[in-house]
Amino acid sequence: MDRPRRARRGTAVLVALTGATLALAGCGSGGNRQDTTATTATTATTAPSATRASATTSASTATGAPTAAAQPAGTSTLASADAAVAAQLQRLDGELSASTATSEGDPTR
Amino acid sequence: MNRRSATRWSAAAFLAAGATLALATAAPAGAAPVRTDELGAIQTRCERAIDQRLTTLGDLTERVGGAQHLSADDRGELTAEIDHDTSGLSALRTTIAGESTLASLRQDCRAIVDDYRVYVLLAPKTHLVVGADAADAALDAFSSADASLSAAIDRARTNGTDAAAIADAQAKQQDMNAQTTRARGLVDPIVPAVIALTPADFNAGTAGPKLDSSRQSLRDARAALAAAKGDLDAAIHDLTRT
Repeated sequence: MDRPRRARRGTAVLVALTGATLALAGCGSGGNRQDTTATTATTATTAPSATRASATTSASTATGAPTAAAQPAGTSTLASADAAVAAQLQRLDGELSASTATSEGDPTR
Repeated sequence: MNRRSATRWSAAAFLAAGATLALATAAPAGAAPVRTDELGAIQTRCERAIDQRLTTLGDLTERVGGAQHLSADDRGELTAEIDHDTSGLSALRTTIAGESTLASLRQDCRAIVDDYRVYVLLAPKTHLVVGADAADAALDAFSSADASLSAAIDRARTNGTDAAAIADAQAKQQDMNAQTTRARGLVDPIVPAVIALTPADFNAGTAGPKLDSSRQSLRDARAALAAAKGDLDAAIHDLTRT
């Protein structure tokens, strides 16, 4: 994606972030859910694995931006979840790579 | 020299030391005694092998500390194992430094590998557990995305969004959920399969296959999550394009 297009898309997402944040806050869904900026990874509190502890990371709520009633609702948390997924997949890649590296080679290790 | 190269060098050095020890112990009675500097050289190599493992253990401690979804039990078990190996290898280092006979030194140096299995067991096990933790975090994020996607689709219906785009978003959502369900099924068994593996299990040949199969499961889960991420991105595109 070229830079101007990415910038336009980023602007659109930011506007959508604010509008949907307000919309979600108004309907009261997701009691502990927090919106984040697109660059801040967060984890949701829904449906944790039975054997795992649920956890949330600190998140910053978008404030101060103009409301955008016409923006598609839900894109705020969608963008947040999308960013969170990307961050965790990157982390997963690192562990997979490290796991492979440490298990290769000399059996006397 | 990177860590891997250093580790291989260390392993080679250790094997060389072992060969030296074997030759020394196989020498007939009355042969010339082993020179003190030879003993010292072996001690140095074994101490270096311990130091490299202690560095690895420090790295593992950081990774466990950074994992946010680990259960208290899993975190406690990994931390206890890392601490156990750290204190044990540190004590062994002191013992090695004080050894004066080849027989004892040989036994000590063998214990660095056999009693701890840092590189082939504890490190990959920790990476797999922390990797499963990352996959869990990703799945939770997908769960949040699914709810948000449903809400966004409902709103899109009232906002005059193109029906074809809405239908496509729904199809992507369904596939996303199928992929995350598959990933969940692959990830959930990983920690129970590897968390309790011990050096004795590795020495008996039972730990290696479990590590390998769990690693493959995590790779497969990663592929499913990547597909789910593609679905999520496509659905978001469907709902936000003008």
